[in-house]
Amino acid sequence: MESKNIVYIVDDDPDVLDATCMLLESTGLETQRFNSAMSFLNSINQNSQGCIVLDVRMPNMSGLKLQSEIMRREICLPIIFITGHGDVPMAVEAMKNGALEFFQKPFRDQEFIDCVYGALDINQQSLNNLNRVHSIQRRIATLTKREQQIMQYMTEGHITKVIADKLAISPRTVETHRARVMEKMQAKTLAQLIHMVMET
Amino acid sequence: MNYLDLPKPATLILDAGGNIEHISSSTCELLGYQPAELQSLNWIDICVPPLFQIKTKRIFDAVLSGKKDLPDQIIFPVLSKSGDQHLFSWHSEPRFDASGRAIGSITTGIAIPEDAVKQENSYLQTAARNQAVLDNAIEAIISTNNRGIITHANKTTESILGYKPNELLGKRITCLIPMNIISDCAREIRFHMQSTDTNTVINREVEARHKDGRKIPVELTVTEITIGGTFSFTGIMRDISERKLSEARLKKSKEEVQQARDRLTQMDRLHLASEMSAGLAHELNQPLSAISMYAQGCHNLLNNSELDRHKLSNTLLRIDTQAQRAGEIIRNIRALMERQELHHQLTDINTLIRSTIELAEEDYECRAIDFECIFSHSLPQVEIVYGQIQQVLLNLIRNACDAMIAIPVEEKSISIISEQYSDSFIKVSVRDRGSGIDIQHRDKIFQNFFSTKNSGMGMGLAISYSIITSHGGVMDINPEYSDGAEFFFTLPIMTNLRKPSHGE
Repeated sequence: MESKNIVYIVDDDPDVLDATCMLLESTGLETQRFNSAMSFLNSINQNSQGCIVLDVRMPNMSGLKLQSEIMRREICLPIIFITGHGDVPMAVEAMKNGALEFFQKPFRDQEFIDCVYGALDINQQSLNNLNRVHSIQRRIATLTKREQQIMQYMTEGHITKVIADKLAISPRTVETHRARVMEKMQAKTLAQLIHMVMET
Repeated sequence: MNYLDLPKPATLILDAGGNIEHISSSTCELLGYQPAELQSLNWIDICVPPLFQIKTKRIFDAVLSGKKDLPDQIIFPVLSKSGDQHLFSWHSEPRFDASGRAIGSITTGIAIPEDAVKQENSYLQTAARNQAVLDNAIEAIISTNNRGIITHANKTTESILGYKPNELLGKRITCLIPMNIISDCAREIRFHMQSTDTNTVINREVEARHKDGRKIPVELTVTEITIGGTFSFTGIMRDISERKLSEARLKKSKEEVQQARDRLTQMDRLHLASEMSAGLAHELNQPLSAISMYAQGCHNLLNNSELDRHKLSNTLLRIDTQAQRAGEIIRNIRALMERQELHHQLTDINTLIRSTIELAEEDYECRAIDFECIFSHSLPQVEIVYGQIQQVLLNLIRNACDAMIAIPVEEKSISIISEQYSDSFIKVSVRDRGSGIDIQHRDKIFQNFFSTKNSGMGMGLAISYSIITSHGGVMDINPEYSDGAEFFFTLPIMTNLRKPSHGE
């Protein structure tokens, strides 16, 4: 899993690009370098994992524009910005749009490295969350229509007798369904079940 | 007008050349001829006034050629034997021979009595209203008859050309408009009369003569008007001296601003002022960040358990390349600065201040600000590099604007004071109403890269300081001024022209 994490670096200055890659690689990270926004967009997709390091000032498409394009394509990688000169409004906009950090050159290399590692962690975590949500969704899909109905009432806090009344079936039958729901959803307690349903 | 009801029709039978084959006796009588006298003579040559001959001939030819869209009635005067003009309303029909060829015309005319024109006076109210309109027009409106004699002038004429309307009646139009322009217009009108039926309008910018002899630039519109068959001309003159003046002023000030801008652009380039220094910072930042990252990378490589010597040595070489790149940028800037020519010129400092304010007002931020100039007018000239001092002053003004960014527009004000400082120095001060200068910053304020602004480079004052120093003057803040900040600089009256060293 870890080896798939790549730091995507986009900078139009080849020297700075090379130095950034060298710095990150020296700490054992895997990098991919791009000298323009376009070449980056052409090689990334929704399944990419890792994080992105963007230069703010680039010809043709600036870092900020690239950021909104990345969001438009629903690529959920954390973005770290690097800028040549302090531009407060630009930084504010980038952060508002969900950038993880905004570094002004020249910056402390260790802070930058830490931030990149942090970004990779965040990406991993959200990936884990995503996987978890997917597996819960798969479990829900195995429920029958009646079981889904019963689960709905259960998570709303109704007791067996009330559910039986509402559905005009016997409490015994409700009990059977409840047991099936708990089993299929792999939930040990009602609290766990509610938690799962909330997450989806 | 009801003159068409009046009797006395005239009848003419003309051949294809316009020669008279028959003319009614009453017409002869009216025109003062014996019928035999006119027989076979050319009607148009003899009886039509010269000014109307061309037009009449054209209409006559059109009738013979069977043109359909001719007007039913055409009004023009005819000449009597004694030279009097009589106004007639004419109608012509073509005559054809057996083969259908036009061989002449039957023309009938109804005399329009003298008093028909006078009847218009019954429309006195309308006339009075028209007069009021004419008098209140912002243009001078002058009518002449076809010989160029002024028959009417409105009141505005007096305010533009100095003549009372009555003074002008009976005078020639040439007393107002030069002869050559009049004949030019007349030529053009005649040309149009021959080629079109529509009213002619001529429009041009000319110089009219005022009563006191001055030349007044006016926009002249001449129209040809036919009232009751008599041609007259109306000239409408709009005074455009204001417009001309402001056009000229605008042109001049635009040129001046442009010149000043050019000079400053040059200065900006040489002195790495704000924007340029930001660009420079970016340029230098690139290799510096690369060096920093390579160095940290090397450090990391050395800490790894397995030392990759090749990679380490490779990266160290790249650090060297980046350091060279930074050096190259610095060298380029040095070269740029050495190209600078320092031309000292004798300057009136107040003129420089005024032109700098104009320049500053070009900037959006400075536009709303009230500038107060407190000048001493007996100052000796100083020998300075004009653009550099302008740069210093502009920099102080911009700083003052920035300092007042948060206060209401009506309170924004910058005072610029010029005065004699001592026997050998003059002094220029710039005061704003901003928050003033923190006393603890006083020592640092002229140092490179010191700035209290969020976006500032801290270069402006440092550069200004070095310019003033190189001119032999002093620059400082006035700690006693408490309503804001006061910066001042002095300049020596007798400049010892030593070459200032660059990049001070």
